[in-house]
Amino acid sequence: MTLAFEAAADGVHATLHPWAWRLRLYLADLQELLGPEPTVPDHPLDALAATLDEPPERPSDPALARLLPDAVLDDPAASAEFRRFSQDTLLTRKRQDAATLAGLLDSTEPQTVLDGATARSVLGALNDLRLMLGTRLAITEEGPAEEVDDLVAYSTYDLLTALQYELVEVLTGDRGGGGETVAAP
Amino acid sequence: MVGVTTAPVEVDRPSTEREVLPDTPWVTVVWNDPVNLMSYVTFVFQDYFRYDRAKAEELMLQVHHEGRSAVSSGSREEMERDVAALHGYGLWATMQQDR
Repeated sequence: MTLAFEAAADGVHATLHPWAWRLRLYLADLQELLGPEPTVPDHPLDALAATLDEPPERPSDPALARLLPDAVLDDPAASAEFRRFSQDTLLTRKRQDAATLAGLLDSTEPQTVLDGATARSVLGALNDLRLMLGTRLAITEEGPAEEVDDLVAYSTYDLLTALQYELVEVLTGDRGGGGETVAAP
Repeated sequence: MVGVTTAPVEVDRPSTEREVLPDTPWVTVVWNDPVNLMSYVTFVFQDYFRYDRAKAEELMLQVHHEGRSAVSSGSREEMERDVAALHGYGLWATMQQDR
């Protein structure tokens, strides 16, 4: 069995090419959902003016709304204020995580060595992909809500689950080798 | 974890809707969702809060079985930071005043 992630003395060894085409398919979806990085205002006053704009609304796409959830229950105004100050940063992180995974999938090397920060970025992108697909497939605690008519999406969701499970095990030191452990002493 | 221990002080205050007593702590609540893996949620609690494995698993199981868990408490600003970070990890987190 091919392991996608293995702990090693020099970091996490990632081997994703066996699944690259399927991951790339949905990663492109995710990147479209997150949108392009906005241009930074040239002038500090433009940046200031942007903070006076209406706060961003809760996204209408359920998958994007799951990636950018309300921060305060039953208080749309407070959640909107929270979005005003945090959403750009959150989106930037998610775009960067997606770009990290995209770079890994596009690598011509059969195996890539990830440091701790890069491994976490890949983990974030895998999780965002699962959240996107899980929302679209209407996954519940018991599995998909209704008859699955998109087998590629569902099997990719399962694949992502397995990959994420492996990477978490490696990062928490549960899977052999000299991998780092994140537990505080 | 930061806790505010100052006793509440009775003050006359205008009854605006968003008014909050400054010495009432806020909490960050993580909600159960059907997608996030139990091992991933445990990992996040260890990675972000630096909780030990036992505490992280206890909180994760509370989320899983009871539907939610208060995972940190402190000032409003601290909870805004925690909620934003947990959203970064993809957890469904909200903040509220601990009444």
